[in-house]
Amino acid sequence: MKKKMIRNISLAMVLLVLGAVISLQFKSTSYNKELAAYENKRSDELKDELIQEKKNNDLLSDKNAELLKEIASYESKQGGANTALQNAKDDLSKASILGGLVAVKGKGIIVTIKDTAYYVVEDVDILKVINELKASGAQAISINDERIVATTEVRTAGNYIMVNGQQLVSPYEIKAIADPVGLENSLKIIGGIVEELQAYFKVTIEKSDNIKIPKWRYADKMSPYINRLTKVTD
Amino acid sequence: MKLNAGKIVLLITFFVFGIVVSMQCKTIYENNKLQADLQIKDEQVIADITAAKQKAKDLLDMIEKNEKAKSEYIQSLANNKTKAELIKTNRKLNLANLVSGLTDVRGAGIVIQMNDAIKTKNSSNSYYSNMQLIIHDSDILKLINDLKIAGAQAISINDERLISTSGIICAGPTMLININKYAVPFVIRAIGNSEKLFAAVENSDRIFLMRRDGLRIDIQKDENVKILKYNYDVDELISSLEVAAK
Repeated sequence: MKKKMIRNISLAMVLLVLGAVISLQFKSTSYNKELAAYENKRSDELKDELIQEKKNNDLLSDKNAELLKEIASYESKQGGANTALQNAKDDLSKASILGGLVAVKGKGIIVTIKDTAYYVVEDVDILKVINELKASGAQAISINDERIVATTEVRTAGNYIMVNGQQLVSPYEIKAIADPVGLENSLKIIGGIVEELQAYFKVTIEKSDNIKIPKWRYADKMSPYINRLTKVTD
Repeated sequence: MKLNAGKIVLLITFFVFGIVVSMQCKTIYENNKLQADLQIKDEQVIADITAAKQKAKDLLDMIEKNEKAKSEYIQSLANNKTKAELIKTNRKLNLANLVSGLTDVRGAGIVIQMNDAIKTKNSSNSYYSNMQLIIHDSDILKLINDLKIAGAQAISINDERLISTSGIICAGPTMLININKYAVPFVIRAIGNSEKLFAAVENSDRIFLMRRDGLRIDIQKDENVKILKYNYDVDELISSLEVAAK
């Protein structure tokens, strides 16, 4: 009887433990499921966040690309304006040099013609010298520092010679800048003229590496010299 | 061996117990594995998120920088410093081109047609009288100077614009003007005060002599004289000139 009782007690204990273990297992499994669900939820949230970030980055990239495009268009506009400005400046510089609107320097010659006791230098004499200088490639010419431009007249007026409306008197110092190759040519041609003029006047020719010719006297007030011209555009 | 009820119960109990223990073991193992897997996956996603956030920050920096550059451009275009300077430069350029002969122009003025004299039976055949019958460079040179004295603002000979460097050079039977040679007839156009220009040429002693010698000279006032621009390379004309500082 005692032996049977011990067996029954141990059986009861075993069953008790078994019950506890089964309940534990149950609990563990359900906890596990809960955990998995939680983990999954967290993963989903993370994935959502990542997707959101990526979407955000795409938007930012688009915006940046748009900006870069705008900047490029501004750059090309600016660049275009800069190029146009540079071209205009270059053209202005050339026209100003050619038109006598700026002072220039360079290599060239100086021809001096002086009245003598019997002969007075006249406009035609000066005109001839200037024409010969032009013929031999002079790029800038002045008489007594009056720059010869397209409209410059040379006119005898009594004992003076009028150039650019200014009274010049003897000696007449004609400066010309020419390209070094044409310079010898100039000297030769001017030599011919010089011989011709030397019969009447005192004429000297001098070569110089540093000739300075001032700008046209009316460079800054040229309106009276172009007011009758209408630009033709077609 | 006799099976009694107690032993059978015990047997079943241990059987179930064994299964439960093994199940529990398996569950724990799988649970660990799952958790590890999830963790690895999450770590990856978190790393991606961090990278994405960094990229977003970089993009924002770039956007800020570019916004700034854009607004600078807008401001500079709005100020239109370049455009204003361009307008100013072009205005100066127009004037410089007008005065230097680099623009086609029109205006009131005169047109002079000149041709050599027609030889008649009565004409003397000597060299000197023959020379009197033709137009010389000095005639043209004098005439052009007369036009300038009378205030001509633009002059052309046979559509060659006379600029600061244009000479009138005798080249045998022709005349070299700018870079071209021309034979008679010559057409000289000048823009200015047409009355003054006309009077200057009509009263020129050189014209008087030329007419006396039978050269054909026709002078017309014209309210709409067109004079072409100097149309050749300008660089060549200024190649040896250096702008001198004041």
